[in-house]
Amino acid sequence: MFGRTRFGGNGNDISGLWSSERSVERLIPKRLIPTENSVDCSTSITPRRTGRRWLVRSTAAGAIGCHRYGVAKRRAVLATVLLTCGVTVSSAVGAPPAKVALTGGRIIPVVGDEIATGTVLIEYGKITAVGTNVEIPYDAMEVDVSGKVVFPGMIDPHSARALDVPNENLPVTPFLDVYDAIDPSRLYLEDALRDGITAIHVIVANNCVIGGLSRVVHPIGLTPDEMTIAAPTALKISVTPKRGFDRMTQIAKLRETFLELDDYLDKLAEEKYEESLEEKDEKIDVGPEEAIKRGHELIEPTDYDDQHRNLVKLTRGDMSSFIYCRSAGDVGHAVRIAKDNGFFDRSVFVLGHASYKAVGEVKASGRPVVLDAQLVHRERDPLTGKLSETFVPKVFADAGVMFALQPNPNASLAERYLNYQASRCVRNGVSRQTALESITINPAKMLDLGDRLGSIEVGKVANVLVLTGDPLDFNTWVDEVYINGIRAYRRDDDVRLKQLLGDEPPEVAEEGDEAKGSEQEDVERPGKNDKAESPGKSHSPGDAADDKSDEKPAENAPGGDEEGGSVAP
Amino acid sequence: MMMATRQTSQRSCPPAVTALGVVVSMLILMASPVRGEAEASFVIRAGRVITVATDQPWSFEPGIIVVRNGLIEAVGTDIALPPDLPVIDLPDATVMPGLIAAATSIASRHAGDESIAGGYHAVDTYDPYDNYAMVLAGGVTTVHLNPGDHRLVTGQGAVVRLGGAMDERVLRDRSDLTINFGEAVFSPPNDVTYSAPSSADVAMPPAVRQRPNSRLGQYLAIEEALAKGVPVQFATWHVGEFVRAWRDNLPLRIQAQRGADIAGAATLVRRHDRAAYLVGGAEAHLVVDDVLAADLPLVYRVAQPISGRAKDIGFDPNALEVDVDMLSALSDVKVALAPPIGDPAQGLRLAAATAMRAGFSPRRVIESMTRIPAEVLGVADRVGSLAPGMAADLAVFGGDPVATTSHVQRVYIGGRLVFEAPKQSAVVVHAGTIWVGPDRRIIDGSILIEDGKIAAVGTSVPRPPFARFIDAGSNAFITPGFIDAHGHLGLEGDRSATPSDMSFAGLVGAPDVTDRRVARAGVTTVMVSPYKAASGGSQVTAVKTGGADRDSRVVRATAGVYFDLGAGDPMTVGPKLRKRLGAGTKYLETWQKYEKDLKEWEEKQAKGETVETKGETETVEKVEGAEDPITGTWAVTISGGPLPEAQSATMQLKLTGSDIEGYIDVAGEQAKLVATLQGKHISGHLEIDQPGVPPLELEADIVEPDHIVGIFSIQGIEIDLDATRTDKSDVEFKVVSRRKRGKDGKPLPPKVDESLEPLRSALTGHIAIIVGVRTPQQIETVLDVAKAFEVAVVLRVAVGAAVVADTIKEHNAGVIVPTTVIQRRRFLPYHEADDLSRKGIPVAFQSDGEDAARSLSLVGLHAVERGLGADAALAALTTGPSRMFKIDDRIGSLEPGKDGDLVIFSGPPFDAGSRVLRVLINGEEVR
Repeated sequence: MFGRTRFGGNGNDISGLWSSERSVERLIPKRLIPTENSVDCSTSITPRRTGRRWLVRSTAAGAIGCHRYGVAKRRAVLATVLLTCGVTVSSAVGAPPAKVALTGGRIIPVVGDEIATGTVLIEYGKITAVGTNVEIPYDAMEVDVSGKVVFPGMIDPHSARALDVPNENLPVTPFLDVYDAIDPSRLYLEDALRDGITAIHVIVANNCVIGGLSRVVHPIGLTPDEMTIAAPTALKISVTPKRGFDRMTQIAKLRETFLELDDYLDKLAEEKYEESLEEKDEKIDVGPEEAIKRGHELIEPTDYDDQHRNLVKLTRGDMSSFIYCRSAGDVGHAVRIAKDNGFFDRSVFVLGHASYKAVGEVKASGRPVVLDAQLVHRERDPLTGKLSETFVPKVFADAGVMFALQPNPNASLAERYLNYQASRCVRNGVSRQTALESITINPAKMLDLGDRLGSIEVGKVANVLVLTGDPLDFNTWVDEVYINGIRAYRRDDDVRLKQLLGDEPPEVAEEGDEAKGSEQEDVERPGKNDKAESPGKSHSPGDAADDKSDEKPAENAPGGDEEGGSVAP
Repeated sequence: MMMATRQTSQRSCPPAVTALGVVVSMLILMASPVRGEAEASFVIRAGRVITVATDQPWSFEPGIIVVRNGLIEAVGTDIALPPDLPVIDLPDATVMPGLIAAATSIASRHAGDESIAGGYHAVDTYDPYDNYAMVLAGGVTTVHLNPGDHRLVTGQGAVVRLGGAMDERVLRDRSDLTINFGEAVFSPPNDVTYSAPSSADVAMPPAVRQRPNSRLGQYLAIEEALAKGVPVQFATWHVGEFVRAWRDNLPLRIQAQRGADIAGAATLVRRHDRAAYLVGGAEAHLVVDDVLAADLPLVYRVAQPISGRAKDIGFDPNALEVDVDMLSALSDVKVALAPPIGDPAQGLRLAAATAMRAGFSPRRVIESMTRIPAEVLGVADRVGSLAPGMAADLAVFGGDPVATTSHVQRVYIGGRLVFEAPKQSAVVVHAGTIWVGPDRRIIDGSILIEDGKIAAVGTSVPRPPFARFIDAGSNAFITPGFIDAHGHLGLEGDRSATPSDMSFAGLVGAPDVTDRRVARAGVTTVMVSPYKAASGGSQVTAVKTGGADRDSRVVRATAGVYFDLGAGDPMTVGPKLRKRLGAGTKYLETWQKYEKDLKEWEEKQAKGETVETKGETETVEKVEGAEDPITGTWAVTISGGPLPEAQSATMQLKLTGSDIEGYIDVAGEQAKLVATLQGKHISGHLEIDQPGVPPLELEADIVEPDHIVGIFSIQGIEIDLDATRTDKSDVEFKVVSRRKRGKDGKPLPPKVDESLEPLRSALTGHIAIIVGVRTPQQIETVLDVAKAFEVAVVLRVAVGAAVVADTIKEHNAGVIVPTTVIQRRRFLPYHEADDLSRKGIPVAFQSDGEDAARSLSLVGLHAVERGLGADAALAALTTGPSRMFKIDDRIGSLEPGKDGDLVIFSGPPFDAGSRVLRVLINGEEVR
């Protein structure tokens, strides 16, 4: 059952979801109005994977963000969330409350002083009050979290794991957008939620010269649009050689790219000037240099082609960049390229663990950094054979550089938890406050979301964790996760975690459930029409076949067959 | 508008220049993370300084270099040392400019497909944070970075330094334009340009074939590119960058091996009237006239040394020797030497060796590794020679830089220490004479000391990389470190008799001024003995006068047991010594029994037999009723010493013959008393059954019937004892003896008696007993006792040992001869050492003082003056004592495996005017 994504929610206007310019026609999941119980009316569909394409996104398309959805939309998200993540939702009933008060817990707001016992009030997805004397509205759902810790949702500052493939083959691809490659069904997202990560900066991996546009998403949601918090966030650039490249080629390619951009803009300007004269039926009266100068004034934002549009934004300072530097020697190049081309002020350096040697350069640049998930750099002296170890975050903390930590995607155990990474920092001499900031408010600031995410402050988005203990204690569990003020995760309901821990026997498909499930699916299978209330009305066999072919192999294989069988006309 | 300003700036000057300007300015902002943060101002005083400069003498011996803020301020022999700068003394070293490798593979070639690509900059590959220790270890400070040799035009090279301040690393970011001629660049792959995203409007251009496909095509391709000028189409950006670089008049770096290509290169250079230099040029000797006519310097890369699988060279006439032929032919060409291909700048000295074989003078070789490559690469105004105003890039060699065996000790770049040979490295000492031992000396030999031990001695010893080299000169005479056979160094006037269980090892720490002074006089080991021996014998400890800590200084914690018979009557000293050795023997027997039992137990255990545990733990003995002066219960008061107030106790004693055995009971703690009664005197000891607590000595007297007064003493602490007998009647008490076996029947080791341990070692032949004697009669008595107990004995005689020389000889005893007594025999000066050593008796000299040990070589000198052979005198200072004290496995001679303790004399040690030049202890020089 977990292989497929479940979906539930209420009907909503989705016309804004898809931009009219979108050239690819998709099967759009239609939302359903919930009946009494979201479980009973939940449906099981799989988001259609369109495959990798170089989707040309217009500027308008880039404006999509989830925050223009209303409360109703959030409810839909919640239900989706609970189901998406394999969490049994027998207890989640109906529409989630619009107001939640987390009372009696120890609040670590990250920004501001810790509150030993206090209340966090969430209203309509925002934090509206934090403190010891908070008046709880009569209609708020009060959650007693005494003995527990309320902590801001953690932020993964740099991850390609929500993508179906981390990188394209072409070296220079500023026209790409991770939107087209986010796979909402990836297990990573479920894990992220369980580990207390409420925002993920999805960005192409490091094997590129210029990657594509990134976006910040929740780990929940059925489509990239639903998941999105902000987009586009940044353009990925790598100074470290891409596979098959060496440093000389990589730097030459970067240099060429930006020089070519100038060349392109000049040509475009000249063309525009010529066009403008043609319209007026005039002949060219000036030399090429003057023509180019005049032409630059005439260029409209729509004139840029796909290859250059995002680069123009970048060089004009309209977009931030995440620049990967694996070795210390890359940092100088990164600074130089960013400064030369006008995007230095909005750049973030993503560093490999060996880059700590360039801490002086990083400090001088004043830019924030995302540190490698491997926190310890080991190096053997070539002459003496002596092994030396450096704890990288300590170096940056001592230098006063703002940094964010990454979870280690390759570690199956401790290092994949951001709070564990932070606790290792404390153990190695980084101050507690710095360590906590490096997994919450620092990444939020780097993503230009410092005013919305990363701390428990009035006015911020209610992405809040309820932990069983101190975030830096490794015995601490994530007990509950609130995203946009809606409970997206409860440990008590996390069936898969229980199975993993041996608390609950592996789920055995029961016949009743199966029948029920297939019935529900019948009911809620999105069809061509918006209102899919009436059972059996919507489904066409073609769709079913399509869906199934895209599904991951289901654990309960017969389920799929039965489902197909029951639907067949 | 930002865009507009950016464009103007880039149009006005080559973009790469701007870009690199910024990277350089960025580097200025940073502090160096590499070592060498220290102030780059100092003075180096070296054995030899080679300047290589054209306007300076070739070399200074000895030389002084004044470095201020990373630049050379002055160089010469007679320079007043600036008082504000630290002085670095490198008396054995030769300092020369840091070597310059004009061709390296540090920058790996780029991966581009373009046949003509000017856009690749080798400086991009330079990582200032990388660890270049392996290259620096070869003395190379400056290297050329090459963008590649796999295409016709590969890009722009750079000249960088491998260390020092970050802002001074890049000497030239665009030093030259690399053109490669030869088969390797023929047939480049087709040039495919992807236009992405391709669409109906943006087509994929077809693949373009690239030149050259032939030798002629090489020149055609270059001329074609130049004729086109800077192309408008951006698809050919790399060609445009090539043309820009050409127009910027960058020197051409033409890499070519074949004669035809070299001639072609010369033609190209002359036609365009360009500054250029040749790299490789294996066949340059065939076209010498062309090379000279075009004024082409040559960067000569030696052939790749045979590595990995050894290849058969076969009949290839070009193999190996051709390089020598070539270099011989190029006597008029300006040649810079470069390491072989593939080697990261380490093989520069291999190139030097090849050049020397080809008849290059050492001077030309040094020039061709420093000043000439600097000139070729256009950096001669900053590096490549040592003259005021030049950068302080220094390579410090531990000997002649062109000698095969000399190694780099230190490297400075811009006055910062960027490489230092590993500390634990070996030392090689060379001298005209090495006195290995009494029966062996080596003329014109060397000693290799590794990890503090002598690894090799001979006329030719291995020279490990980075080994420190000390050339003491052909007059120098090396002896093993001298041993003071009886000294008191470190006792600081403490004249008390040290207890038998105390070793001086515990007092040894890092050497102090006095120790070093003694060491500088050539005495590397002192047999530290107390001024006065305890009656039970005191321990003698062999301590080095130099070394880092206790472990490296103490040769043997207990190297002997010293008895001093003083002026005692031979009739009484004999039994005393015999008694003490008897106690030792008894103690030894308990151990021997234990070892025997243990062995049996192990054998049984191995066979699987069980060992019965006897009830050996307790015995009850009944005391006979006979009244005697001791037996009974005593009320005891102990006071003084560490006790804050007097304590009362009870004591139960039993007298059997003259042996007293019993218990003293203090506050519930029982201690066993073992003593002997002699007349009214009781002497013995109190055993406290706790690990590590030595027994208390008891000396007491029966002052009146039923009243004993005495003293317990331990390590100088004394406790008064006052006992009165309360009950003379029969007493019955338990004698709790030590359990001798564990639960599983395994024998338990006997209690360690620290005061008898040295005797146990002596009785088993591990150490000697040293006996201070005054008269020949005493000598005979001592020798008798020693024979009875089969112990090695060393006699510290006052005078007259020669009288009984035959007896001494018979017993194989050693003799420590007196120092101060001027002896005369038949009115002529006479030295007993001569007499004894002629008879084959081992002799040793002593200082009998603390820092008086400094005069030990004078003691030898006096003996030589009085007739002792010089070799015998050396033996008396080295092998004599080391053999007597059985420490000749560590010190005393210069054989491989012994400690690296040696003394370098300016001539034969006992010659007039000979003095100690240097002293090494554990391979470390004592300063």
